[in-house]
Amino acid sequence: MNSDPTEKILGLPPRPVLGDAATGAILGAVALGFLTNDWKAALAGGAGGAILANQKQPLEFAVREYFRQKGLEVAFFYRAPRAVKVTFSYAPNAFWTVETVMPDNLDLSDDDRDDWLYGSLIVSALPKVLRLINNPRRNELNRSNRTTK
Amino acid sequence: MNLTEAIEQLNRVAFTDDKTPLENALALNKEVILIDAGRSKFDVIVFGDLNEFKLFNTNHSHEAGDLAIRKVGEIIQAELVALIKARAFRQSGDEFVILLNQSQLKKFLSKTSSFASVTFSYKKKSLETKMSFGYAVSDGKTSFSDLLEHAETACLTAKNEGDGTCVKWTEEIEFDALIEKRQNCRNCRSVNKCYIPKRLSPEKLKVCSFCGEKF
Repeated sequence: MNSDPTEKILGLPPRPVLGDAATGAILGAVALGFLTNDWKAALAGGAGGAILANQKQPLEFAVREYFRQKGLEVAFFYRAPRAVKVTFSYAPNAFWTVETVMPDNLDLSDDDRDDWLYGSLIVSALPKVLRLINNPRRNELNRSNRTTK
Repeated sequence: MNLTEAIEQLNRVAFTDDKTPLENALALNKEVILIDAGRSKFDVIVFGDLNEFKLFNTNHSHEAGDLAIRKVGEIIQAELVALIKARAFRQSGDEFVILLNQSQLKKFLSKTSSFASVTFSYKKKSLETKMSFGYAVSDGKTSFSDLLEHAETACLTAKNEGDGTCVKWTEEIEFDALIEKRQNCRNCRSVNKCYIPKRLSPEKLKVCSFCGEKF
């Protein structure tokens, strides 16, 4: 497991620590079930704020927070053991799905795997999709390339 | 958000659907207990589902299908829950249940045409989903599950009448309703499936439509 919460995973940024999120977002996440039982127990037991603050954000929470900060609304979050898929709204009534899949040859711990999926999603997969969204001509070209193959 | 608000949110989440802003099946079950005990203010059970939803999923992906469910849920919330004060639930999949009392029925019927075409953009492609409804009015003696079955039968008839339509269940509707007949062929192993009006429905299908073998 990656012990330093800021250390990159195979060159990708890890999930932020919980202390980086607003208190309201954390309590909301508890209510919505994004935090696991360990987190809830720590909160209910009045665990020290500093201890909690240094813990990494759970994957779904981290992804939702990242999209929110980018002004994108997450409609659906789909999780598989080695993949993450997010359907989001980028304009009123307009949606897209972005996905990242971990290569078969990568063998990481659960914690590092979640970091890799987060990092890959925000650094690689999402920017590609945002470029397509912002560049309709490229989107059309991609479509015509696919049909001519 | 403070802790009290978080706990309130926790309670809300327990009864809120995960794909739409509507209530979930657990919340519906709570109200069903009241309906069956004659203690609910609702006496009209509406059933609606998306038309040709399986085909929509096949053609456009399950993610697009989830969005179709979400968009329909948002319109039900805005048009029926917020404006008419109905209660609306997603029962499962693309199936929705709406509870009304008879005084709200006229307003509800004036809104169903909004569901003839629900559009949204997915991956820069304009997609359209459609919905039809059926409803049954309680006589004070029929159980919720029977009323829901009646509403589902009426909904099947509504689908034949067109997108965004709503049909009231009557005994005549029940009689004319299409029912599924299915027969597996022992000879060619095909599955024969067709829809026949209940009143014309034979005991079983007679001939395999694939190989001609008699059943």
